[in-house]
Amino acid sequence: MAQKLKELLAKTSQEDLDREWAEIEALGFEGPSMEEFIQINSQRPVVSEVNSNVYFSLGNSSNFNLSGSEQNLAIAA
Amino acid sequence: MIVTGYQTLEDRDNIDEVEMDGPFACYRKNVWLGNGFYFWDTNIEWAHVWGEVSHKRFGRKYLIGSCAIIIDNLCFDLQGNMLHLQQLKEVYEVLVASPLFTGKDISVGKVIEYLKRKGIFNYKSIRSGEITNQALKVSYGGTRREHLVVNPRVQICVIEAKGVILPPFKVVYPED
Repeated sequence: MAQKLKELLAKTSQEDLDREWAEIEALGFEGPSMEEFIQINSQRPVVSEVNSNVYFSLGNSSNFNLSGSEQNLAIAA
Repeated sequence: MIVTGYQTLEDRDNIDEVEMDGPFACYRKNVWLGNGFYFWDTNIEWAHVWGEVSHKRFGRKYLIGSCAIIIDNLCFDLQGNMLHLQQLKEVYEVLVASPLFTGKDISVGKVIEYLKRKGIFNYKSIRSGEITNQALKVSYGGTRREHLVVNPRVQICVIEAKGVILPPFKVVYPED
């Protein structure tokens, strides 16, 4: 996928890219940046926890509360 | 692999209609994997969370519909396929290195939409998860601080329903 993208971009003018990207921007997609997403997902499934000593047991599975920031990532599923 | 997908919808007292016409595609602007049919993967509790934050707190009832979803090699599986995650990372590196994208907001949804338009992204669905601060963590034990997250919030965005979403679509909440 990356190689095909690289070949495509080599044949793409800045003008064409700007036009296509403006169309995509107009769709208004929100959500995490690529960098944020890759950083988050690179941590799975083992997470090195630095700032918390809290470990939940499986019995706490009903404890769900969303923070404001997480709502930005939640979508209409 | 076949997983159970859950879709949270506003409850308009029309369960029969929902079961007949559902599931429903999402075209909201805050979709983060692009347009498609969005589902919570397997863990119905996240569907309830979304019902609480997107409907109940605004005084609306919600319902949850469910159906089977095929996860196969036509799924860009960022939750279960490390090769796909690596491919996304490589795409990101290409974009960052390209002067064409200097100054542009490179979000996941926009990049996937661009790849789709250029015929480079030929998947029928995307499966992707995140770790929330409601993560339930089980320690690996000993003095190590690493742990396993047992309730990642995983979503599936089905771009092309045919051959991916398996009927029936049944309302599982509220129960009869």
